[in-house]
Amino acid sequence: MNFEFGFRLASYGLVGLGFLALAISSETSLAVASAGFVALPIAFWVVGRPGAPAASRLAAVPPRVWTIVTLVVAALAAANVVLLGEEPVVAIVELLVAVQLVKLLSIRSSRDYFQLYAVSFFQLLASATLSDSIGFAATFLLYMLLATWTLLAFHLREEMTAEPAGDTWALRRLFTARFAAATTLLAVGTLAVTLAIFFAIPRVGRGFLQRAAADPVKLSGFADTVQLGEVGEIKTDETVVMRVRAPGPDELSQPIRFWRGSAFDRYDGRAWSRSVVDKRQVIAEPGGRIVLDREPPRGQLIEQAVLLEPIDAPVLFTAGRPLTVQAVTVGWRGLPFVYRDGMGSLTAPWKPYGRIEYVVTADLASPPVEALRRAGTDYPAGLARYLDLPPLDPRVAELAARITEGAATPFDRARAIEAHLRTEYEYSLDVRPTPGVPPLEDFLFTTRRGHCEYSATAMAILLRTLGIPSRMVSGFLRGEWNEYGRYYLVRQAEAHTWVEAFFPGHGWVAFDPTPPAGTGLTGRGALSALGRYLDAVRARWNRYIVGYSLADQLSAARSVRGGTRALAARVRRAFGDAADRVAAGARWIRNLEVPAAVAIPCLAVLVLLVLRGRALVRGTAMGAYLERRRLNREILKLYARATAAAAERGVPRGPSQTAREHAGLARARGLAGADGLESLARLYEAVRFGRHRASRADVDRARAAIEAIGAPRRGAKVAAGRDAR
Amino acid sequence: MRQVARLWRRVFRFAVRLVKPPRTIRFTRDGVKFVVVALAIGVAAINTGNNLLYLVLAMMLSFIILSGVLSEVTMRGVTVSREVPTTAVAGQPVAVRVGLTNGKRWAPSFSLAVHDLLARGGRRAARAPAPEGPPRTYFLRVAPGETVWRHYTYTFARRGRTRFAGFRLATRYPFGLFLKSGVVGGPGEVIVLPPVDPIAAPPSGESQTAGDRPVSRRGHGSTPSGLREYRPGDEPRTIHWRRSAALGDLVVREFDRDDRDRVLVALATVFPPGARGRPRFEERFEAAVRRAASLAAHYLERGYEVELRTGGGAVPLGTGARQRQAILTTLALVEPTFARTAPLPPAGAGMLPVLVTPDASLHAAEELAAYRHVETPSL
Repeated sequence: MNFEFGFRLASYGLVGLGFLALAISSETSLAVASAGFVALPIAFWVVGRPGAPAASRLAAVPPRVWTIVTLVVAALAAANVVLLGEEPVVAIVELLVAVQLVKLLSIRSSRDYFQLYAVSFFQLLASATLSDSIGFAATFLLYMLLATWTLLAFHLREEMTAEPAGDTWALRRLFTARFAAATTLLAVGTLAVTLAIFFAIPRVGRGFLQRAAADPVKLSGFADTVQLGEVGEIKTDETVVMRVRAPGPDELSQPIRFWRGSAFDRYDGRAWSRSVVDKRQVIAEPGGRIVLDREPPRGQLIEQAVLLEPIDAPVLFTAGRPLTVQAVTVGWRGLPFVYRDGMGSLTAPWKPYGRIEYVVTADLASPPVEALRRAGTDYPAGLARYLDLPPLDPRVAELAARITEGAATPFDRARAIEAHLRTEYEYSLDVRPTPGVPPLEDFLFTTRRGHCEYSATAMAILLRTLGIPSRMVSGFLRGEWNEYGRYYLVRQAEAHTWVEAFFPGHGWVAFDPTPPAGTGLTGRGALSALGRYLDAVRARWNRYIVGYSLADQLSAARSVRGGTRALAARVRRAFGDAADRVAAGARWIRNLEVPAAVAIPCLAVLVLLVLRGRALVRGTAMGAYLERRRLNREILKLYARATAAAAERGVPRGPSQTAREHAGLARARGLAGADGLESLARLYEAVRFGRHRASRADVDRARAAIEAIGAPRRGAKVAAGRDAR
Repeated sequence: MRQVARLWRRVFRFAVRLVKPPRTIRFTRDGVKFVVVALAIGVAAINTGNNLLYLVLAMMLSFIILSGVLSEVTMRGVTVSREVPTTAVAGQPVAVRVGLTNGKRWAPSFSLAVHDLLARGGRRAARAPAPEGPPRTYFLRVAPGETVWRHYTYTFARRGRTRFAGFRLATRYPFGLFLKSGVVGGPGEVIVLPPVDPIAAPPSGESQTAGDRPVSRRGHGSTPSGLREYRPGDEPRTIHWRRSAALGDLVVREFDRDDRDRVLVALATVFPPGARGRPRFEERFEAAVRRAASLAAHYLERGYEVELRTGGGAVPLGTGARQRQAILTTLALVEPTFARTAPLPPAGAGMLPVLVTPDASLHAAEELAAYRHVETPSL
């Protein structure tokens, strides 16, 4: 490719990436940036092409005109903000696009390209402040790779055109495949350095101007009161609520079914609420760990790292019986405490308007069925509120009795009701309430269709009519397992409600009366393998780039320290005694009490001597000695080469011949360069057997002698120093 | 002990070089802007805690680091050499060749500017500083192990010995954010010859003593001595047309050399101490040197034997290009000296003596009388 063409292509590519960065940042920016996308190819082919008629016409426009146009655009943007109340951010986006368009039209000199880059860079910057989507990651990556190449090409081009005898031909030849490969490699290297710097720059807390999430996910089912039917409204929303890193389905003895959020005990015939406010603070221990339950686990103990998207409720979701919770990134203070209410719901001290991450250890045990059957009805005091009933149609109690006919224990009754609701009712998000009929009765006897809230309410109330304490719980279904990121992806659509019933001696046990159509993922929301892969990338981006924090840096530092200690321990184990001896040596050295001021320079000298000894001793007695030894060796090698050369030309040196005899033979046979060989033979003998010190001149003469004979071909057998001393 | 001290000095110098190679780094205009923007983004990143701003900042910092590394790679292992023509003449542009060798094994060197540094000090204003700074050559790319030659044209202002101090290597590679430069060895010198002007009216005349005349030497005298084959360079007017026509080959007439063919160009270089105070003495002396050079060149071009004598030395009789170079080189280095007795160079016998002096009134009349011609160039 022509250098100039490649350079222009890269430059316009960089401009395009600037527009792209804006386009992905927000919907308003997308509309504005589209203008850039339309203009860019036109600018490339019609305006920017050297020699194009439009280019020369535009070049004739005085620069002052462009300055005025830019100023007018800026004034318009300012006016939009002041007079029309436009968001300043949007105005800035508009301004950046407009300025870039003007620049594209008025490009004429090398400096103009630099300004194009500058504006596109500011567009990238604007995008960084507007959005944290994975799209920014892709754009940034491309931008970085292209910018490295473009800036390099720009520099070379500028230097070359500034030369009085600008050798543009050299530039053209420069752009080879190798050059392209080398610069690409360079760009990749830059990326590596960038990431290293990114992770190393100390994060000084969250900053005063920390941007709250523009619109946190609005959750239903976690407020103080939940109207029946509320959750159904969000069952089609695909917004991601959280990603939970936890053991995968095949690593669990008992599958994770739900992410529990809030629980409700009072039903007034239309809505669920909490009858008492009994939130209590659980304060974190010094390490930041909050211990919720000191009872030892009965089943599999698992760790769940919950990366919660910004939501408008301070609920903390967990699966199983949570034992501890610890903040990873929840603001920069972490979680000083959490609230726990009497129904076991956990809430954070504040609404998490940014992404937060916390780790929960939980016991996944569920009591065996037989034990539950034996639980009996000896309910402890204080469960009365779980038996409260609103005014009900008498048919409800009749229904409960009919369903549980033949069930001997409370557990079997609960099972029967669960099974009945799952099989005899239809799952539907499209609930058309009958006017004037309370929703529960409407669901049970008229429509016979509804979603999880109706099923859960129905079961809870049916259980209560039978005297079994129960409550409604809201949270999320397990979600989709992402095998690439090893996490469960939970969306709004997975919002769910279910029932907990109390069994003496075992506590609260979950039942899910929702028909299977409402609890699966099939046909809705399930991602393809590619989709899951991309989501894993997105999760990592959110976690490690967008959500990177001081806490991460500290934990990285800790793990490095831990790692080196572990390594040291492993080395010690591996080397056993040797390590002890080294340690003893180290102690001995320490006991010498050599001041560091002496030790360090000595060490430095030692290192230098090892690395650059020869260069350092040059000119000293030591250097002279080394040099002499090198020259002597050189003479021996050269003589070996000379005999090899002579052998190739028909005068091999016999085993019984001395060097001088061989040289004499060569002369007698009329070998070309025999004189040289003879003097070399003498020199060789003097060096090998005498105390002669070869000089540089000797080496030069020896080389000349070999030249005169004719250099031996490569790989000729060269035996150096055959003669025994 | 001295050995140890020496070794220690070396180690120290080496360590210093390792940590801080002899380079200077300056921000370019773009570099200043770049760093200011990076600082601003850094402040914004800290205040907002926005990690994407940190990411952009990291990109900018990595560009700065890359600039440092790549410019160092491009400058390491580079040696520079220079070829100056021996015929450089003051006041006339001459092409100086600069060769840049990339001694690295695998990395090419990009975008290197080489400034040829003229030594400070030295002879008077021999190196009048060029207004546009030291002469510069630019190398876009030098492959590993390769030597690339470029040249710059330079006009030495004055005659004399001009010394080069070395080269300053400078690069803004790779992004033009920093100008990194360092000095590499490459000292050298050139003797800038005095300029030579055409001579309109050369002095001429018989030698003083007829007895000194050598015989039977080919020359430019008036007595024809025979014919010979034409050789390139012979004057066309010496062609014997009739004979050439008869032979079918060009033949020229040969002439006996006469004593007027030997010229002594003497330059007065020793002056009484008062001479220094004369108005524009330096300029006059330079004009005299220039005139002497022009005369010598004039005669040599016409086949004369020319000898040069100055107050401090002489170039014995000789002819041809080699003699011209010898005389011009001597004249390039000649300097006026001041002494109580300021004798003129002796006017030899058997030659056409021409004296060039900045000011005839500085010399004794009897000394001047020894010369047939005395030239005092006007300014």
